[in-house]
Amino acid sequence: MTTQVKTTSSAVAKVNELGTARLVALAFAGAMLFTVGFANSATIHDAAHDTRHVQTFPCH
Amino acid sequence: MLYRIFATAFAAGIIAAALISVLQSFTTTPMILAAETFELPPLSEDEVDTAAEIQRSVFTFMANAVTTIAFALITVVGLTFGNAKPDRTKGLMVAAIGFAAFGLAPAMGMPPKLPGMPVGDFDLRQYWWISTALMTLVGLVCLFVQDKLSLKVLGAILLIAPHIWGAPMPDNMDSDVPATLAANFAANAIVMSAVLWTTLGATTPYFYEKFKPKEV
Repeated sequence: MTTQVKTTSSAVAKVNELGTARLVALAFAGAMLFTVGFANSATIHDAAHDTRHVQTFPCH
Repeated sequence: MLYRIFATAFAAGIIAAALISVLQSFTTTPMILAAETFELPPLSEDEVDTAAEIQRSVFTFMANAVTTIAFALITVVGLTFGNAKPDRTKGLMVAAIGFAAFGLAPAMGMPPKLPGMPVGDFDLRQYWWISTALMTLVGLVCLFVQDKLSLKVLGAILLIAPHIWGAPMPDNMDSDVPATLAANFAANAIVMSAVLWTTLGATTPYFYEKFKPKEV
C-alpha cells in the first residue's frame, strides 16, 4: 500500500516536473526569439541585423 | 528534466548555429553586403574595416545561436509530447512543423528581404509574423497530431487565415536592389531555415538520449 502511494505520488511529481520544464523552456524560447527577432533596440538590431534578414524576422 | 531539455537545446542549437553561420558567410551575407551598396555610399579600398567585419561575423553567429537554441528548445518540448519514442524520425517530424511555422508560413506573406527593399509598416509586420507563426504551429498540431475532426477543421482554418488576412505590404514596390539579387536572397534564406530545422530535428533526439538522467 505504502509502495503504491509512493509510486503514484512520484508519478504525479514527474508529470508536474515535465509540465513545468516545458513551460520554462517555451518561456525562454519566446524571450530569446523576441530579443533577437523583435526587440526595438538599435544596438540589438545592429548586432542581430543579418540574422533578422535571413530568418525573415521583420527588419527595419 | 529542465536540465535535460536545456542541455539538449544548447548542444543542438550550437551545432545548427555553427553550420548556418558558415553557410551564410558564403551565401546570404555577401548578398546583404551587395544590397547595402545600394543603400549606403560604397567604401573605398582603404576604408574597408577588417575589425568591423570580424565583429559583424561574431555578432551574427551569436544572434544565430540565440535563435537556433530558442528553436531547439521548441523542438525538444515537441519531442516530450506523445507516446512515440523520441527518436530521429520524431525529431524530424517536429522539425518539419517548426520549419513550416517559423520559416515557410511567415515567408509566404513576407519573403526574406534584403536591406534597402520596400517593406510595409514595421509594427504591423511584427504582429503579422508572430500571429502567423503561432497560428501555423497550432494549426499543424491540430491537423496532424490529433484525430478529432472538429479540431482538424479548426487547424486548417488557422493555417489559411493569416494568408487571407494578408501580410502588411509596402505602398510602393520600387527598389534600387536588383530583382535577381532579391530573388536569390529569398531562396537562399529559406534554404538556410530548412538547414537549421533539419539539423535540429536530426541532432536533438541524439542529445536528448545522451542527457537522459542515469538513475531512471
